[in-house]
Amino acid sequence: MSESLALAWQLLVQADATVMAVAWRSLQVSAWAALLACVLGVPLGAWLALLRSRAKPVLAALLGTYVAVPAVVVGLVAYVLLSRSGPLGFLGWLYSVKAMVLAQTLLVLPLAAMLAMQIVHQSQQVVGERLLSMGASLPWRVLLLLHHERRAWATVAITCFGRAIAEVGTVMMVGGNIEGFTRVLTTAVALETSQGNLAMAMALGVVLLGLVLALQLVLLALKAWPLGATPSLRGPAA
Amino acid sequence: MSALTLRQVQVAYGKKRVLDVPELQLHAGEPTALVGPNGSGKTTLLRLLHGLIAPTRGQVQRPPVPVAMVFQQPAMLRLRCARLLWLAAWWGSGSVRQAAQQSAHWLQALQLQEVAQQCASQLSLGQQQRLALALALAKQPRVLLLDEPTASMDAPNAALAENTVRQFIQHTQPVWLVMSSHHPQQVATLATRVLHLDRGRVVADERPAPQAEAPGLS
Repeated sequence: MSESLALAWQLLVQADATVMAVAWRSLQVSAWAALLACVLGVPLGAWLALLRSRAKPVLAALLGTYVAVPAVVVGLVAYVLLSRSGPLGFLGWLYSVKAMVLAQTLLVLPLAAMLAMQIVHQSQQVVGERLLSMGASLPWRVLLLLHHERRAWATVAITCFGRAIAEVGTVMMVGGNIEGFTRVLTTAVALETSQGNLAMAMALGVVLLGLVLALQLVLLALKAWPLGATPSLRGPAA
Repeated sequence: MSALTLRQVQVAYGKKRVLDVPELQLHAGEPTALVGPNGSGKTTLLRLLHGLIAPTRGQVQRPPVPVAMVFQQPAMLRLRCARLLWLAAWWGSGSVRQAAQQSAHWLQALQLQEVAQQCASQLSLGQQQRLALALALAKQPRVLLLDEPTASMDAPNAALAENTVRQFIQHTQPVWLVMSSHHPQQVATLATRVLHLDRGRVVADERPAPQAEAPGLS
């Protein structure tokens, strides 16, 4: 263990080019996946929270099921979609970073939607009836509740990022773990472990943990950031 | 003009029946107060009249006019007061120009100019309740539902709110005003019809003789 920690420290201090490249690729893939998942999933979750329909419980149950789908199944679906004979085969993305982003987006999208649904549902119970009474249409209610809960979205994004960066099966299936191209921290840890390089695997694991810890610190800083009035939404002076 | 009508209406939360109104008509120009102990069904009746909840049984007929409600809990969005009021006025009128005029008017009428650029959720409860009244009035409703609208206000601000409501119903015709209140003086000042509720039922329907206006409220 101490050997691994020492190696991890050495790799970081020396800014080992290979490790840095793998870490940077992990950050990029996971950040893009978290961003896309939030852009698509948060409005979807907000819409579901505000939906007044008999289909709502069914849709919520489907979303809950999607959250629980194993990562390898998501990876398999992404693989089928992107394979040469699949519907997205013409893109030629298989075994590329784009494929990994797509697969991780599919993986964390339901998480973003589910969290958004819960946040907006709670927010709706507090201020939703006021918005309805003011005459706000559904798109306006979604927009204003998203804005009302803006601090929570950073948490959702970082949660999605954390889920994405810690994932191995999906990116392995559609990325192929190609050195210098699609190798990320998790797939590198898996490879080093399978080759018996436990110290190196542990060192890479420590780097991964360091990244996640850094994210948690960012989250803490965001929570401590005071929110005043709404400088981003400028209305006409009364 | 048609009436706000409830026929054979029941509202239940699970197995608990919270409202049971066989027949009730509320008329424009006849401000109506709902009085009764906590849990008697006043808020449920107001939310039903708004259409925020559906009856478990029966029918609610509403005239096709704008409805606004002041809620007992003045929970506010994290938006600046002026922006929030502008949105309410805009949704009510559909006109950007009218929205600006309306929001400025109601900010002034309810003496909220000083907090216009503050975040609504950071105001005091009393200020939030005044803002809630301004938001409802900025929509230019024809059905105005007030759920204990001055519960968090001090006496001068409560008088200001009552006066503003009275002026609104005098200048807006026809308008349905239905309010719940625990303040007999407020009921006497604003309402010409009083419905007494108890355990979800209307147990008395009174039309008391009009009172002289309280000093300072005109």
